[in-house]
Amino acid sequence: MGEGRGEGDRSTFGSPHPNPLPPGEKESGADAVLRFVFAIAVTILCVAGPASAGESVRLTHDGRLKRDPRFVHGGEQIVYSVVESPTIMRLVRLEVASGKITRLYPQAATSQFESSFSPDERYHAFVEFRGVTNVKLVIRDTRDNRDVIFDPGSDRAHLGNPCLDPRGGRVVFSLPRTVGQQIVSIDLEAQDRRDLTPHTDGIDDWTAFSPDGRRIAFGSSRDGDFEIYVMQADGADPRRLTASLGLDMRPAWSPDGRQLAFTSMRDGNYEIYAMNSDGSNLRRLTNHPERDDFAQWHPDGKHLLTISERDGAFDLYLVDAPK
Amino acid sequence: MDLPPKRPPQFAAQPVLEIGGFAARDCQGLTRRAFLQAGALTVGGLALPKSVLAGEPAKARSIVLVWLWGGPSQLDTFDPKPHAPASYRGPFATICTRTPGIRFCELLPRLAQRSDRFSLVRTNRNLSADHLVGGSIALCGAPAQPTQYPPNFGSIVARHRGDAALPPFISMSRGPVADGRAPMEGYGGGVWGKAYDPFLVSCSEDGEVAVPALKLLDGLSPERLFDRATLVSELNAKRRALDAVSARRWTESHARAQALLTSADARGALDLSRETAEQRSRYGHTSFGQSCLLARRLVEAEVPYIQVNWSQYVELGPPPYGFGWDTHAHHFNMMADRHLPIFDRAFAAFIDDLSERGLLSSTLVVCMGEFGRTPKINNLASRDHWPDCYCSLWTGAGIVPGRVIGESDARAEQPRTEPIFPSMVGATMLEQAGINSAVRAELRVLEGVRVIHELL
Repeated sequence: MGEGRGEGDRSTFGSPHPNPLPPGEKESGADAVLRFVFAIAVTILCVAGPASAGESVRLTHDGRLKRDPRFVHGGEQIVYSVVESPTIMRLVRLEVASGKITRLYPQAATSQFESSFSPDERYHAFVEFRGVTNVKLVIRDTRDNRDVIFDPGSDRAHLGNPCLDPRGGRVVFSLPRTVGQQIVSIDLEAQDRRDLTPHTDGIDDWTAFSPDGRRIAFGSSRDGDFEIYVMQADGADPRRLTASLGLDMRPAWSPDGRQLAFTSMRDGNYEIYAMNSDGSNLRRLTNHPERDDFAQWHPDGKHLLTISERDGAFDLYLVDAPK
Repeated sequence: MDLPPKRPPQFAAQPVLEIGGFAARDCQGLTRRAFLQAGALTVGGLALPKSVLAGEPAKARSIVLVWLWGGPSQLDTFDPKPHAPASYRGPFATICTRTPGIRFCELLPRLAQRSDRFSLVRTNRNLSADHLVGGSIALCGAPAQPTQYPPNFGSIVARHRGDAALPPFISMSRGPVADGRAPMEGYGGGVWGKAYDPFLVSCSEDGEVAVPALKLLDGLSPERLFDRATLVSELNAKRRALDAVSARRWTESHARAQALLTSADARGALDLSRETAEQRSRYGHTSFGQSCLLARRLVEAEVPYIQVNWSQYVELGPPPYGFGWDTHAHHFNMMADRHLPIFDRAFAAFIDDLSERGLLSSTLVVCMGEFGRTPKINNLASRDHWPDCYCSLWTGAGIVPGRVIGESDARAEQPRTEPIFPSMVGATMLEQAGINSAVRAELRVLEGVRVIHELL
């Protein structure tokens, strides 16, 4: 492991920022009280909702750089990637009610990020650094404890943002080609590759299956800068949903499939927006001079999860979902 | 066109701490060679003989080089080409800046709002597209001659300024900057020897400042480090663990290390816990952000030359590599998800902080990588190395802000105006540090190279 995070590295000057407890480390009485208060606050929020519109509940407090949160266990847990040291980004699991954070794959020796789970959570797809400027797609069967690897190449290679089909059987992700980057689909054995967006020169990325598995939302620069698009699961009928000057990325479907939340730079800063799944009824959901990003819908459809930068620290926040 | 000096450096090497090689291990399991190297690193820069040449009064009391190791794309930062074909311009939009007619990448909104507070060179050109070679040239101003590099700009400043309470050349990194093959030759004293190498410190996202050399003092907690008596005892115990020959060599290192490590001023400058929570938040809770904050503290402590490294390694990859700027793959994701938001926040805060504290007029800040990236997007939807045309930012200490120096062509492939070579970058930095052309000639560094007068 890199330096600076305990584990034998003692040559440090001060530790002015509170750190998360490493796995297995005992907490103080004050920590226990804080955890209790936190659990009460989350419980109240999930039962009754925030006291007022725009109010948010902070779910993590370590402030570390985070990305790609995903609800699991019906919203009781959140899996996300966190920068643990300057050299590694780990998948961790947050138990929402208790605030307890544990490593998802403690033995991992390399960065893992961009997660997707099947609805039954048997399959977990994610991207893993394999070597220098080289990644692979891991499709992990957590029931049979078996990995299937999609290998994009042995030298420098890239793929990104996998998403498992909620109907089962396939995973889509972005994959560069000679010009641009496309969306491809493979089965869970990393076979039967199908190119879903073969006819554009743009960069396609951030795939997201609709809850019924019939549509895929994604971002693309095919018309200039990044915009949000939606297409059928087989790649047919792509339609552009946004038309703004500024980055639009990371679409996320509401549980009922009627809305999409996404990140946009259209107002000069990373903010979360929502729109109907046909592109209508656009609304801005966050408004803060710091970054709001990585929106995900809570399975109850009433709340959104974001990774937001506040006072320079990145944490998970739960906010009201748009009506 | 200015070329690097033709004469090989002939300045007599200063006494270099003799370290020797040992394979034995002491009772703590530490190789003695490693320990003595640690001592040398710890004191590197201390007790250096000051140049006999005074030079001119320095406009820059301190120089801070913000080193974006790996090579940021010029198109996706400060020289976007929104009218270029899609296969060149990339997927990001551009935004207005405070400089009329100048646009930046949309992912740099804070710096766009501060473009009137720094100047931008858009026609930097390096002589090599290799990280280690190009990086050394960028930091030394010239290629190796014949097998060793000239001294780093920081080493030159350190030699000129001489001793101080803190080392005169501090580089923020977990180790010598490197790529996957080897450390960069030009990171330190080069032909002048290791005595002019930088003193290394690293800074985590939590604000913990570590001295890599001190990792060899087993069990040295921050509390014990701050306790002078305990620290001295630790060092003495370590010395006693060595044999007579090693101990004799260690004595010199020990004295210098103790002088630094037991100095309250030195330790205080490295202690970010003395900053307010607001101040630490302002820079962002990232390793780079906190390193920029630490650089400001070192400026206040009048350290002559500070290099803030984005990362130790250029590469994206598994440990030990991490997240450098060498984005042959994953480029646009990495820019949007990580690099540019972190950089934008931290560097903007650094400029603001220096300005508010009245330090900017006496501090030269330069921000650059070793080269740019290919204007044409590669077959991994990313960008490769491009030394022909890239950008650098300059502010403080006599730099006239708000200027854009040089113009690139329609695809940011080549300069349309005079290229700015690393030697010119170095000459300008040294000039502002009071090391004028006469002193440079005496030192046999960057002789006859013109200063980038357009910045001044």
